Amino acid sequence: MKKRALLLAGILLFCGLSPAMAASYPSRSIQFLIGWDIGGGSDQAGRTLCAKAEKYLGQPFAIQNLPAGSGAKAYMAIAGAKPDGYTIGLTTSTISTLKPLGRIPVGSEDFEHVILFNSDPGGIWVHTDAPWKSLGEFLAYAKANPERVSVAASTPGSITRFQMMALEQEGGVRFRVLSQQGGAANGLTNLAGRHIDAAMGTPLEGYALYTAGKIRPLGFCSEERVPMMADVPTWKEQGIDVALSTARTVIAPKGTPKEVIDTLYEAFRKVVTDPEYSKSMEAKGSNVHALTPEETRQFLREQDARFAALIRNTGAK
Amino acid sequence: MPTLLAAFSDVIHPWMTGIIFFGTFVGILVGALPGLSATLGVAILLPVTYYLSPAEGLLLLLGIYTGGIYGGSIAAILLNIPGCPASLMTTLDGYPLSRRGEGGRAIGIATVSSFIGGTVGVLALIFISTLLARAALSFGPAEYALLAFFGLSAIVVVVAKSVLKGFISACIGLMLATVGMDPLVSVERFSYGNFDLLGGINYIPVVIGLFGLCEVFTQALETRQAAAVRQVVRRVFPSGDDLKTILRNSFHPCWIGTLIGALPGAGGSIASIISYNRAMASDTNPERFGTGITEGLVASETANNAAVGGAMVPLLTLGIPGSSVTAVLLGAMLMHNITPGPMLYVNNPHMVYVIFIGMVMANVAMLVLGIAGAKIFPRVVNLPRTALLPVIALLCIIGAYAMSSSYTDVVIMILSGLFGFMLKQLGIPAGPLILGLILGPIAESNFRGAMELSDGSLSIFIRSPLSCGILALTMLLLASPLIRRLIAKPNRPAKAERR
Amino acid sequence: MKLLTRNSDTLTGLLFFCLSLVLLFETRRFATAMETIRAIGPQVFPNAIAGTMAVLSLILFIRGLGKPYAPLGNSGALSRKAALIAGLTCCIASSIVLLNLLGLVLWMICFLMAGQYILGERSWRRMVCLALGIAAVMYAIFVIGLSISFPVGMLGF
Repeated sequence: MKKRALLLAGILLFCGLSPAMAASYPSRSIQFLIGWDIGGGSDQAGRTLCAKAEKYLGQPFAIQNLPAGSGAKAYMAIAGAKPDGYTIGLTTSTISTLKPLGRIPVGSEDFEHVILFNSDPGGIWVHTDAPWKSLGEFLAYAKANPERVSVAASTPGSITRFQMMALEQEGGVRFRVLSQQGGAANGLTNLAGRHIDAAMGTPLEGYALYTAGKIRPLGFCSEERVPMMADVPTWKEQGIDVALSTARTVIAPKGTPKEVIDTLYEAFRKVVTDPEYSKSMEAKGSNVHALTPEETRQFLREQDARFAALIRNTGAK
Repeated sequence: MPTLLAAFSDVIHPWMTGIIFFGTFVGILVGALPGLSATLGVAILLPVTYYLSPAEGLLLLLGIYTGGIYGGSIAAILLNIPGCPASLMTTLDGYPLSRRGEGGRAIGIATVSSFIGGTVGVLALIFISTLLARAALSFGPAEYALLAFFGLSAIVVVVAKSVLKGFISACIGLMLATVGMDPLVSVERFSYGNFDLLGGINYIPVVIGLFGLCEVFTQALETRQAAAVRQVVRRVFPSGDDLKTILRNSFHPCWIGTLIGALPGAGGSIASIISYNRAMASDTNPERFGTGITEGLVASETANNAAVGGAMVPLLTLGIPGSSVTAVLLGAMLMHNITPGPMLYVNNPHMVYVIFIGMVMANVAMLVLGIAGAKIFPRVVNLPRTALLPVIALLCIIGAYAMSSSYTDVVIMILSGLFGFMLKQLGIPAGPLILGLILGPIAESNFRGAMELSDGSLSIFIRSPLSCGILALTMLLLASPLIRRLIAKPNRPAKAERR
Repeated sequence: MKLLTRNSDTLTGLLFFCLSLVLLFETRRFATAMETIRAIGPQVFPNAIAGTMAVLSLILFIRGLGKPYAPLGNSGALSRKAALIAGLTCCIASSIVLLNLLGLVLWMICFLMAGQYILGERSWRRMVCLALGIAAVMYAIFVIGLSISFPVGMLGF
């Protein structure tokens, strides 16, 4: 009798407590995992987001960098963490590419999504004195000279590499690829020094060289024109149906309670919709978004399909 | 002119000066702790700058950058652990000095040299940045590959008593650099499915292990009777003689540092090696280098701080970040709506002047804090060996773990320490190994890229006057020990025999 | 055996020659078929480096044979040295397990105590003072000052 009463009391207490527990989220610091090197573009984006969200959440973020495998280690760590909302992390497009490439067993469907807050469109740049005025002219020349036009892209598996492969596939051309470590900066520098014909890079990365009159963009592969350089057409406008951007999202382990996700979403949304923040992001050529968890999940599903198809068709490994 | 004066008064303002001093202090601290680098300092304080004005935020980060490079030399001198790769050459002469008890004097010399180099670097940034930027752009993949090989040859010739052993050390380093994903093709090399190795072996745990942990092992074995040399810290600011030596030997390191620092991706390490090598080559008694002489310290420290000013050239003029620190600086600038490039000079000259004057002020802060701290830092090393060694080992472990929260790095650090200890017993120098690790990726990816561009023709390496020049210098460098031996033979046969 | 460990040069030469052979063998794992002079494959550099190392270490070995006999030390001293290094290494390597278990602060204190003991310190007062003092300073700098994440042990800090 006593035992049963105790059990009943325990259950009641627990029921009484759990909404209280959920309501008091977050009650301690939240760990935020970033799968890239400290100081890199994704790290900066993540840290800025967390720093500003702290005041809306009332608890600090403990940021941890796990730079291994372009995010692989961080994704695995989040997948294996307790779904209590105290371990979340950052993703870039690699969440959609690592599984098809066979590097990790988890993909975007194995996580809860919080928000998509940032996207950087990619693009292709040529030297200011180059004879090609549009993407069409460039591709025509490349078709006439297979494997002679040198294009710089980042290491295999990176987004610029995929963007270039998509361009090759849609345009029916084959480039001579120069692989650059350390992001697009090296490639754009080489382009400015006239060592190569073209280079992949985001508007942000090429902007200073553009204002210096050394290089110019042939087009960006985003859905809409980039506000920073509104006179540059997109690839889609020029007949190449490719829109691949580096989209950054926040994820949580599968099974994280909906209330926790919503709390996090609210806080991040407030950060992102702050006019100062969005203005400074757009000045960097980044697009700011505040996609809800559902919209984020939908977006990532589409992104997964796009990348999977690309990897299959080009035989990338 | 009025803009210049306005910028000047902005920077001299106590609040701004305080921010610069604070940033420099944080930079020195972060640079001196093994395993942490200026990149960590700027990345962590980047969100803080959001609450500051653009000028304040930028100068805070510039202070950290300036202090970080200098802080690395403190660890190099006192603990034989280069706090950043640019301080590698500082260990060669700085550490022997501190072993002799002259740690305070060494730090004083390093501080003044860093100040001179840093200030000249900023002056170059102010006056000849367009020229430097144009020179930097003329370096293509072929030139970068040749430069990397030149740097490697330089350290082998400089550091190794036996060039053969030096080259073997460099080979090990180059081999370690190939671990991970191939830079051009999607192939894993030597990583055996381990995620952490897939990104390559990080040089930080290797440096910490090879220099720091190895030193802990070596000193642990020294018999208790061997009297620990206490650091004599009487006067820290260099004496008249030391000052004269510094001033006499700073000229070449300044321009070498600025020029090489202006090359994106190259930076302080290559600059200080080439500067050191040049100092050794032009000296009448090159054997003195590496035993703890002022000239060696000056050559290294002046060059690596001049490289800071040089690295700002491509950042400000072309928006190209040459290193991870400048990448964060770029992010900070853009966050505050400061877009680098020639338009910056036209649209926002005030900000440009603030940056220039602020950097000079950061160098002054470094000088003041360094001289003030130079009385305190060496005393830390005065702890008895049973206490000091565990502390250094602790720093090594924490340093290896901190940057990427990975136990793999700690394991790498321990293995490097044991390996380094073995190398020491065998008489193989550690410097070329680290440099092989750092320069290997640059050398390989640029070499393969150049071959790809030239359709497999090696002529790309002699196509431009620049590449011919670097190639010629490298060959001269490699031949120099032989030439020196041939010249020395008739006069001193015994010396040649010792080799 | 005596011939091989004649002096440091022969030992070095032999060790690294063997190492380079192992490496040359391992590069076969990732050697790709596609390889022209233009598209240099991933195995070219490792092969070239390992090959150079093999040649250099062979030269070193042969040169060492011509030099006088100079072994690295007698066995008694060597074994005592080896024991000390092994002890220190174990202490350091155990951090991999203990850091997660104990959390940063506790582990630092244990490590510093153990390290001092291995090196011969016997005064408990000095050991505890140093351990607590350094642990406090490190905590202040790394966790509070630089907010770097470290494992949190069973006790929660």
